[in-house]
Amino acid sequence: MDNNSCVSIKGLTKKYSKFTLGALDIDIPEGFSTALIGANGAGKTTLIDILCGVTHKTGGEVVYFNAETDIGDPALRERIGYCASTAFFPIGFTARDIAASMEIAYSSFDREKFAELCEKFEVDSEHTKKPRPMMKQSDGNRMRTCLAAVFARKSDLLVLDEPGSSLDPLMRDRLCDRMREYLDDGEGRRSIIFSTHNIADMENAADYAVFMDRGRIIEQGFIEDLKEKYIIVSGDAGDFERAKSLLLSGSHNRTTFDGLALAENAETLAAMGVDSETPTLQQLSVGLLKYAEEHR
Amino acid sequence: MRYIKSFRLFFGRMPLRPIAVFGAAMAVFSVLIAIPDLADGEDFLAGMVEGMSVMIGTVASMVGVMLMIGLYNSCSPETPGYKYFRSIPDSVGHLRRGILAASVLSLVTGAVLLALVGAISGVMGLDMSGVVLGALLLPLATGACNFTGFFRRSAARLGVLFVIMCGSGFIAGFTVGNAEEEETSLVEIFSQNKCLLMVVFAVSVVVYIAGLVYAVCQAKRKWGSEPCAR
Repeated sequence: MDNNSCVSIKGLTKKYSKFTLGALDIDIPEGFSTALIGANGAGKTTLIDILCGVTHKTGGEVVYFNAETDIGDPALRERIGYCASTAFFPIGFTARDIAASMEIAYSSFDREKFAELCEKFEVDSEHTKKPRPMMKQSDGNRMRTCLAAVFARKSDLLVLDEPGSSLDPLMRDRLCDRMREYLDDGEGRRSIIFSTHNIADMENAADYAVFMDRGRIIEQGFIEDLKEKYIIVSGDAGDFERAKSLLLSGSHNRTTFDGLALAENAETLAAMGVDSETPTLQQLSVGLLKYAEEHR
Repeated sequence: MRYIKSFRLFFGRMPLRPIAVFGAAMAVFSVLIAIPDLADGEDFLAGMVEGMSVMIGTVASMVGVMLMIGLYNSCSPETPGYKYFRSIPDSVGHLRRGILAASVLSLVTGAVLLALVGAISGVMGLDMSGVVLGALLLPLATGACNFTGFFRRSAARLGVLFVIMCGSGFIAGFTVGNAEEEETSLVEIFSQNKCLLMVVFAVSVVVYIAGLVYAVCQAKRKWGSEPCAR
């Protein structure tokens, strides 16, 4: 599939004393929603921080919207809607303080829309009689407030770090709908990058996936293409030894086994009496991350 | 206006209420100190009143510094809010303007509170040494805050200010209470030796200006787009 990239990453590295990210090569497609998937410590947040200018890369290049390379450029930052974890805003800030601060920081911030979204997400807005500071709110409400703030302004790229982690399942579902609306309203010009552990709940929001492990990319691609590339297999324990060499990763017990394999081996596996099916994103993630773990 | 906006960005609104509350508290304490016989016969109260009269000027001068501490805390990577402030458009510009505005506001709020305490002390006929000491320490404390603002550990930042406040309390203890003991007060020392006053004031101003320049340059280095900046 030939698509424009909204973010093109070449040879990106970031070195810490005990961790190195990269070198990464990723092309985030424009007009789609990209999920960064990986275990804790894979480097998802570090990558997002670099993309949004929170921390600097050690090397490599990042090109935004096929033209911009300087994340310090205020005009570029205006185009990026960034929301980190629940500790995104100062803990002493109320919704009123967030509105006042965001209005100064971003020219496209819509204060009325922020109040509207806060009410829709059932959190304190600046019209609430005594809005509570962030420190007095639950993690879920803090995240809802952060999301209301990021959706209350115009942007061409949304970058969300674990947006679903502290939300209840209903709110996660609403978030997925809102993300789809955001993309649809952009008519192919808007994109989303988000990191997640809640793969099952966020699957509806993702079109493209980047799997990371220990600072490296282990797989990336459109989810539909990846679901054609891989299969989930299952069978009797007796067939495990024969099938093992064709499995990328798997688990077995006394009676059955299951695992991830390349779709090109489906016929061979079928001949062994092993069943296969199209994986869900959750199964794909677990299989690939297990494969990465076993081959470190 | 841009500078005030950048300052407000870090606080959401102008923190007028805490300053007003502190000012009111300072005024109340200033009046209490002057009430004769307030602590008559009560050693604990007498000691407390004597301590307040010594410290009130220096404490009043520290209010503005509290705003600066709040601003630098927002810019610390360990503090919630850091990623928000770091990721906004023109974050470097806002931080530099915020530091400048906070440094000026520190002087202004400190001066207003010192003037309030000084006016009440003057009306009540109290020794003004605490106010004078506070006025001399205010630029010094603001400068120290700017020098330490980008320390990684907030404990280190607060530790430096703690040392300044304890030091000022120590100096105040030895000099400000002299008037009550009919010894030479700080005001009298400076009246008799204007050169000493000028030197102390000049040192304080130099520390203030140097701290401000250092902080503004550090802001660009830390938050700017040089590849090696953290």
